[in-house]
This record gives sequence, structure tokens and C-alpha cells, in this order.
Amino acid sequence: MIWLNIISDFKLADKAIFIFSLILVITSYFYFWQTTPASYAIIKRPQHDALHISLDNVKKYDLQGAIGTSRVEVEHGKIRFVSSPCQNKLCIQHGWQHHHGSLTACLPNRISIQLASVNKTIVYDAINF
Amino acid sequence: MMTLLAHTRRLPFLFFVIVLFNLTSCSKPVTEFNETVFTMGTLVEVTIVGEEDALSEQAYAAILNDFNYMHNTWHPWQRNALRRVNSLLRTGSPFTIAPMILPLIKQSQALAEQSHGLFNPSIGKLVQLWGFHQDNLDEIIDAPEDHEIQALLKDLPKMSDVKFKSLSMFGTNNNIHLDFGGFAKGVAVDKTIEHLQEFGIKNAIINAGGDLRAIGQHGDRPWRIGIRNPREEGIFASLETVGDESVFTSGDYERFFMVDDKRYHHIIDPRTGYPATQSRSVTVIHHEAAVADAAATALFIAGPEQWHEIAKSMGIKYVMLIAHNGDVHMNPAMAERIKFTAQPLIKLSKPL
Repeated sequence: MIWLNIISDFKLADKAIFIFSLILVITSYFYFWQTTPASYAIIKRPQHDALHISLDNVKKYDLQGAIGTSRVEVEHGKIRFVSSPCQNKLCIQHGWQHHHGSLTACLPNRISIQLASVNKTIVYDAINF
Repeated sequence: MMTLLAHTRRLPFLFFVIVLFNLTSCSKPVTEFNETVFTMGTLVEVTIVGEEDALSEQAYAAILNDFNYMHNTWHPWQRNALRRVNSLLRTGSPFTIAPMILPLIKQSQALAEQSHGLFNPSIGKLVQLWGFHQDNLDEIIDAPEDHEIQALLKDLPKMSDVKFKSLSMFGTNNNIHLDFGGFAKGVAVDKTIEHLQEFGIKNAIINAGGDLRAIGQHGDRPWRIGIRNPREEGIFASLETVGDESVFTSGDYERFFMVDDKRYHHIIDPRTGYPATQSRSVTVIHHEAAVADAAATALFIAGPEQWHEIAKSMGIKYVMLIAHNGDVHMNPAMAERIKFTAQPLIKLSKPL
């Protein structure tokens, strides 16, 4: 009840400042806390330098790993393994990855894909699984 | 009341000032060092913030050596110190304590006892029977026969079967085979974090295949950890670490093989000899990575009925267990720290 009394005592300008601040808090929560879409991927594989690829296009890449060739597919901001010589196909089951900070890998083939964003504002610093 | 109301017109301005202070604190840039490497049979990601690149690179090179040394020494199925210990334990005769293995044995004995035997790294033979001792599960073509499992269960070793006398150790069960598995990963994370701290590094994460220990924070905000959904793509929940904490998850999706469309995963219940069936995943937060690692395994096996009792016994304060039917179980303290991307139905336990 005391809060109702306080708010009813506000003048128009007070209410405007209050609402503006509230909107600022809510939008900044989403801005700073929600996941950022990735804009590029960093691919690491044995005996090769890290490969940076843009996620803006539609393209398939064949990557030579430790036990064979893994195929990854890029499509408008997301990336996934579509084939790999490993038995469990866990890398394929991870499906599309599109958030900044996501990490997916084919361990038997020793190929990892880490997603990153040019406009890195909001992150998970690490992914637990 | 009138005095209070007289001051209320200042409140919006005060609120606005507080908001501005908070927003300006969000944007301070920090230097970040990030490297990923294959070691300990998994992908290890090292993140260091707020340090000069030269120091970060020097520290990273040092812990990479640590990881490789520990992997080579503690791998249960390679020609190394642990293999020698395993073969000598089975003879029953005393032999000189192996100093590089001793801390691992001592710590896992304590944790095995606290977990009422659910965490049991002495069942390497059972792990081998299932084929999970191999780095690559491609070669497994079938599950073991039930009579083979029952034969091992008849005289299943326990960690307490490793005895110490003066500077010697010996085994009292000739089925014993120490396989520290993921626990070695937890110990390795602890050791390498300690090594980073010796370099003076205060803010870092070591993430070994999805299990991590975080110290300090990222600039002026806490480390933010996303927890992957055990069944679907994407992030299921998130949390912030406080100070120095480890976040470990054991799940049935990590290592498994399929036979006739049936999935057999790597977390073996020492009571039945078969992969544990009551949980999809268990996430534990604890200061020490090794303890979090052992607890995540034990609580996964314990399942929804028994996890609370075992967590209490192991001194774990934060647990989230996703049961085989998708129910989410957790203690109230964990519920206060976890933010879900889509709010599931949560079964809150009594406090731990």
C-alpha cells in the first residue's frame, strides 16, 4: 500500500523518468544477458592452422581430420557437422550451432568448431555439458 | 508517513542515477586469452582474462605440459605408472607406493566412501568388459553377456581394497583395476588451476570437455556458464560462478555405443554392472573439480530417489539432476542460482 501512495504522489515528469529507467533496466538485461548470434566459426584440426570462416553464406566444407574427412555445413548464421568418420556421430547429433561461444567437436577426428561474434557483447564464457 | 511522502518525488531521480551507475559498469573492456587443445582424451579450453598476453601464453604452455604429463601417467590402459600399479595390486604383494598415483588413490578412496560406493574407480575390469576403456568406441559391436557381468559382480573390488602399510601399498582383491576415468580429468583441472594461480593469474576458466573450474571473474562481472540441454540442441540453463567454483555434469549422452537401436552409455552402476538408468544428467557445483566430478558420477548413478542422501554425505551444496523421464530435481540453493531458458517443472528437494 505504501508503494501505491508513493507512486500516486509522482508528478508527470517523475513518472516519465521512472518508466524510462525501468525500460532501460529491462532492455539492458536482454542486451547483456541473452545469447549473441555468432558471425564466424573458428575450426581447429590436426596439423593445420585454425580456419576462420564466415557464417553469412551457404556453403559446405570438407575437413581432413585424424581419422578421415568430416563435412560441415554453413547456412545463414549457423553451422553443423553433416558427416564424420566417427562411429557415435555425436558431433552430428549436436545439430545446428548458432550462438556466440558455442563449441562442438568431433573428438575421434580431432576437429573442433568454436563459434564467435564480431559484435561480442553478451556471452556464455563456457558451455558445460 | 507524511515525511516519507514528502521525499518520494526524489525517488525517480535516485532510481535513474542508480541505473546509470549500473550501466556504465557493464562496458569496461578486458583482455582475453583463449586457446583450445586436445588433451586428456578431450577438448580442453583455457580462458584467461585481464593479464598480459606474454604471461597468459607462458602459463598456458606450462599447464599444457601438466595435462600431457597427467594424461600419460594416469591413463588406465596405457603402458605407464598406473598400469604398473594395477598389475602389482592384483598380486596382493606389497610394493613401493607410486608417488604420482598416491594422491589420486587417497582422494578417490575418501570420495568412494562418502558416496556409499557409487563412485568406484576400482571397477576398471567392468569398464573394460563394456569396452569403455577405449578412447574410440568404434570397435564395440555388442554389449557383454549377462553371465560375464555377474561373474565380475560376485567379487567386485572396492577402493578400500587398496591398502597402505608404511611406505608400501597392496591390493586385497585380484579383480581390482583402477580406472579413474573422468575423475582424473577433474583432478587435472584442479592441478592446472593451481598452476595458473602460481603464475599470479586470478581470473580464468579451464573447461575440459564441458566440465570446468572458474576462478575470479570476467572483468567486472561474474563468469557466465551455459548448461547444454541433454537431449536437444542449445542451452538449457545458465549460472554465474562465485569466486572459485567448478561446474561438472555427468550425462548419458557423453560416451555411448548403440546396439540394435539400444543405447549403452559409459556410467556403470557398480551395484548392477550395467549402465545406470535413472538419470539423463547431473550437474554439480563445488569448489574442487575432482570432488564435483566424482559427485556428478555418483549422483547420476544414485538417481532421483537417492541423490539427496548421497549429495549430503559427499558435502555437495548445489545439485541439479535431470531424471530419465525429464523431471528436473534440485535443491533450493541450486534453484536460486540457475536461470532456465524455458522454465521446466522443478521438483525441489529439502535443503542440502
